[in-house]
Amino acid sequence: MNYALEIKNLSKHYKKGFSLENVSFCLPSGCILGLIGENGAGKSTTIRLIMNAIQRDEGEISVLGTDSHSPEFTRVKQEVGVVLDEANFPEVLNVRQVNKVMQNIFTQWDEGMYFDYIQKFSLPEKKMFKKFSRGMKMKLSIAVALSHHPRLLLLDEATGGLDPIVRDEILDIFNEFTRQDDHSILMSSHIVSDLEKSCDYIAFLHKGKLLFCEEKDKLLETYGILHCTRDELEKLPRGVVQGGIRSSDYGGVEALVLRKQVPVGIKVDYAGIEEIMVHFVKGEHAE
Amino acid sequence: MKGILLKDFYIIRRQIVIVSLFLIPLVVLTLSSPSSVTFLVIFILLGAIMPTAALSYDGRSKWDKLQRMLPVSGEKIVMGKYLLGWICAGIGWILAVMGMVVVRAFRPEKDSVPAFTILLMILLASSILEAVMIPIFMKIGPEKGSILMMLICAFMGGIGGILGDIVPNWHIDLQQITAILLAAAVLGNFLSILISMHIYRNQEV
Amino acid sequence: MEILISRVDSQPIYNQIYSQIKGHILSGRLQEGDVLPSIRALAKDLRISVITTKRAYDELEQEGFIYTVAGKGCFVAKKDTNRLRQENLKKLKELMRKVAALARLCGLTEHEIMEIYHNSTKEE
Repeated sequence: MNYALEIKNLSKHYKKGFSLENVSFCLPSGCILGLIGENGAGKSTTIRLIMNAIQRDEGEISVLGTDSHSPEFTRVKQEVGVVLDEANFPEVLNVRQVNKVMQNIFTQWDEGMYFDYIQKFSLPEKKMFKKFSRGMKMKLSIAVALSHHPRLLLLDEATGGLDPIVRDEILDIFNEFTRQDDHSILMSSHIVSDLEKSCDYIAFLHKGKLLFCEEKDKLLETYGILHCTRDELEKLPRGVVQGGIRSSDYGGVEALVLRKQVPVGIKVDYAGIEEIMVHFVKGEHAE
Repeated sequence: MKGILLKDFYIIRRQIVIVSLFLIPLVVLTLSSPSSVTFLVIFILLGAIMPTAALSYDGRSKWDKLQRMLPVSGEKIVMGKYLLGWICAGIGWILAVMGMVVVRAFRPEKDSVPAFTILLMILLASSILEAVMIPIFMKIGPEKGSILMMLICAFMGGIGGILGDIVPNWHIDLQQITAILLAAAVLGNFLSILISMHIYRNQEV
Repeated sequence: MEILISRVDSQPIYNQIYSQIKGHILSGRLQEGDVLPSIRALAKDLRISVITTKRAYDELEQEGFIYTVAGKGCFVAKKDTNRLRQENLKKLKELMRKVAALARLCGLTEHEIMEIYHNSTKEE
């Protein structure tokens, strides 16, 4: 099995208190992995560690088969497209100048493809970057990331701050990107609904720790939401309820349950990734 | 490295044009001073501070975050800044020489001080300034660095002007001083580059 | 080939795909030798995970409904009439179970159930 990304025991300790601890997960080639977690959970830190933009304290990272500390790594970056949450081109540059700059950075820069995306996104070619709206800035970042024929896309909150219509357009583009079976994506977002559709795997980071990394389908099949009274909840066998419980003022509770262990006859509702996430976090807080 | 340099030039090219426009007023100003280079040295100094200006700019626009994701090694990024400085100081030097030629044309009497040598010395001095400032900027950041930079530039500008006035009264071998400056510039830049690369590698952006 | 999936259905998505393709094959809408979209293409077209579609195809292949030719793709397998009969029997048994459960709820006797059955066959 080829892996686009292999992360083992990754740790990073910041003096201010936050630390990423012992994070391990893999992204098989050709798959999409959604990295979820609240703000400050460590998603951006993980992506920056992967690209060696910041130094790790412990652990191993392998990107497209190459260790991120090896001297070959700079060359591997040619095949990795990155979109960061704050699109970061110099303010006075315009679309055409960005093209010229990138042409001299990426060996596989595809000018035709770049301008195709620019046209598709209706971006003005001569306007300065500082005059772009947030959505336009994101679209430019995405156009750049896709136009050098990468095999791996790292997207850090690439759809944040965009309206739903634009988000859908962009998710479509990412979906198309993975039609080729050696194209992989790692995308982080706290807009879980974006990830829920086309991700193959979901990894959940919470306060620097990886709570799970699982096939998305398995998650949706394993968990369900139970709406019942407190008494009914108490009657359930041990271990059925996972994570925390949400209670209403009217005596009802909402709990995350393992479907297979719920006694037959009790109705279990669909649990989306977001609900799974929320209940897990509630459980962590309760401990 | 070429891509990064290109990016820096796109950013500063407006500044270069604006600065070049000052050539005429500064030539006129220089005519009123005993030396034919007094105010023209500003071009060289401006050229030398371009790398630090570029560094500040990168930080403000958060380009430095994205830059670390690109397939350009840290060494090339750092070298690019020095190269930018040398090229810009070189352009500044050419402008200063042009200005000096014009001044000489209006004032053909012999200079009290070999103006050309002064320009060369200023070029070397500014290269040393650049070598000192780039790692400092990288370490303490653009805000504090800018203040420090402005103080040093004002100081150097003043020295340049004073030198033009008082040097004729000293019996110093300008050739010797120029040679010393050359050695200092080469060594200084070399050390500075090593230090900057080290800072860049260990920086958290 | 029509495939409609519901994300909020209690039936897992891979199962929905599996059932629908199986249905197409059994009903004849998909003929022997017809080529199916690749696992990847289907996933991208439906905007779902490739793991999901792979699972559906794996099950279909295990049960003999489709077969894969390396490098070429997935094809509908020869219709096995015996298997068809088995499938239909399986469906029948499932329905019977449901009928029995409902009958229990209505409090019907076995005799009453048989009467309803006879009447329904007469209607055909």
